[in-house]
Amino acid sequence: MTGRASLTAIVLAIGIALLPQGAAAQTVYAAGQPGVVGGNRQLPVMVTASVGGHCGFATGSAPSGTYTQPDFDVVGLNHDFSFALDCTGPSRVAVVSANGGLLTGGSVPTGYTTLAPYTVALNVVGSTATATGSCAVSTLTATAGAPCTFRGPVSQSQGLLLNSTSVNQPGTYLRVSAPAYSGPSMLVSGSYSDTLTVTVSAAS
Amino acid sequence: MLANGSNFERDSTVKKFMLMALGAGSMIALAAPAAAQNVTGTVNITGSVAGKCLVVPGSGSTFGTTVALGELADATGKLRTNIATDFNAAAGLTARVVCTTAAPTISVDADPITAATATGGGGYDNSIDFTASVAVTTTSGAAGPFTNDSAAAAGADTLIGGRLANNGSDNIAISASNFRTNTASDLLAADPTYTGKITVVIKPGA
Amino acid sequence: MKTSILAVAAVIAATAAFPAAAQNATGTVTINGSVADRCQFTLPSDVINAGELSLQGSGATAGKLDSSKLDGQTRTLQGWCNGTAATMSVEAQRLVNTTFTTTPPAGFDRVVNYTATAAANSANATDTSVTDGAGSAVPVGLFTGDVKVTLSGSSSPTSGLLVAGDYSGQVLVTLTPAVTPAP
Repeated sequence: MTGRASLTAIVLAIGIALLPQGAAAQTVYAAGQPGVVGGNRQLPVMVTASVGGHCGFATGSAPSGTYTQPDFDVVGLNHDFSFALDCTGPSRVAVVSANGGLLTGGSVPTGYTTLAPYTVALNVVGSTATATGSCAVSTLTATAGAPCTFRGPVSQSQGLLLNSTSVNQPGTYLRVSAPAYSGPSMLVSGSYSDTLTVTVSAAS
Repeated sequence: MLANGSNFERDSTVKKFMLMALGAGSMIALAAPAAAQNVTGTVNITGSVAGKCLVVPGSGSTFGTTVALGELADATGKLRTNIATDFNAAAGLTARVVCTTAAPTISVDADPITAATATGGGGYDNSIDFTASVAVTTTSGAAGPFTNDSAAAAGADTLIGGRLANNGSDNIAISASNFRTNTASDLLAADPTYTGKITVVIKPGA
Repeated sequence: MKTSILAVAAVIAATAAFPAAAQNATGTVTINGSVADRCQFTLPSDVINAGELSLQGSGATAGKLDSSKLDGQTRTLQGWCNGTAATMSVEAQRLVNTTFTTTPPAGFDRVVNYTATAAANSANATDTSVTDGAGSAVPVGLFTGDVKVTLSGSSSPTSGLLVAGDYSGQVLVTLTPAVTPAP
């Protein structure tokens, strides 16, 4: 026997063991053993995997943009902001309005107003269901006393519920609308604005 | 060198192979990387309301009435002395106007009541002058009256002095006074058609 | 992030769906009236007391009409007409003896005739009492002022002796405004 070590076959056992089973017992196969051909034994390895759920706006399809309507007091408001969800399970969508209406600056006496109302509607399309809701924008502010059921921020339990997956589904939109303004207070002249923040979450 | 004389490293047909030493029933779990999905979208809505003045209700732009004074001369042939009373008792001399602006203006122009064809002279007048007066209610109280005499040029645009009151009531009231002929002793020339006018223009201003 | 076709950034230009006017509020009060054609006497009557109408003395004409008692008599009324189409007429009514009312005997008259002229606004209307009724109407137009009545050309029908008694007659001046056809 030479100095070369009497080597046992080096068995490289590499385990990517992420499960609590921990390190398994090492098994050595050598030529001549039953079931071993040429030193090789083919082991059936069971590999199973799972994919975790996700929910958000589809890439590049979050609600965005600006709708500008001159003379909205005369012609009203009507615009859809389209967006798409990418949710592998039920989801919720919620909206928060910064101003509770279209707002212009300054303070005004009785009989006049700087805040114009409008309606916010959601139409969320899923693979097996569509969820809709509509609220006055005044109920979508963070401090609204009798808030809309889909006032944000969204959570697993707060927001318009879509009881369906929604992946690659067209037809989802947020709609702002209002008829010609009819008082009783008079809207003052000027530029008006509001910002709506739309959030989405997996539903519980 | 192995016992049989072969060099494991050189001769072995044992191929180095990786064994996955696994316990029975264990699994490879491939954790999906946490995708950085966008969960917030922001949309902006902007609009504008123009500077303008409207007649309420209806959002029209005109108001007014026709005052029929009838026979203008009394038994002596001169202008009736109760013309002003008759004029100011007419219906439709008030209106409700609202402007979207904070500093609207008003102008008043009175045109004399003049015969269509008859001419004056020789102790006769064919035209009756008067003073038109417009009272305005603003959100901070009464403003004016804004006046114009028919013998003078049309009044210029004048700041009303505040926002027009928007409380459901009429905020413009028109009246007239000082109806007169050129000379107090003038008789009125006969004509079936005497016509005069008061024009009030309320502008949104700057 | 790539711009998605689903991201809506709509800027809607103003449509001209509403009138660009309606910026000002304009009120118009129209005042209508009328002045009817009218004439009026502000001094409507006067009296000429001619006194003794017959010639005095004892000549051939004594007892006959003294035409100087009437001729040239003038009185001025005051009136006005407010229309350009006004007209004026005058009616001279003969003086008649109101005491002696029957037909006088031959050589006697109980009537004195004369011509009356009314002048106003440079217009003259005349009439003779010989013929009943007013004289022709003349345009007098728009005027206010004097209506001057003058007597002239007095005579008696037979140039006879005037029967004694009181004589009375009158001059009627009529101012007529234009007649407006009914609408």
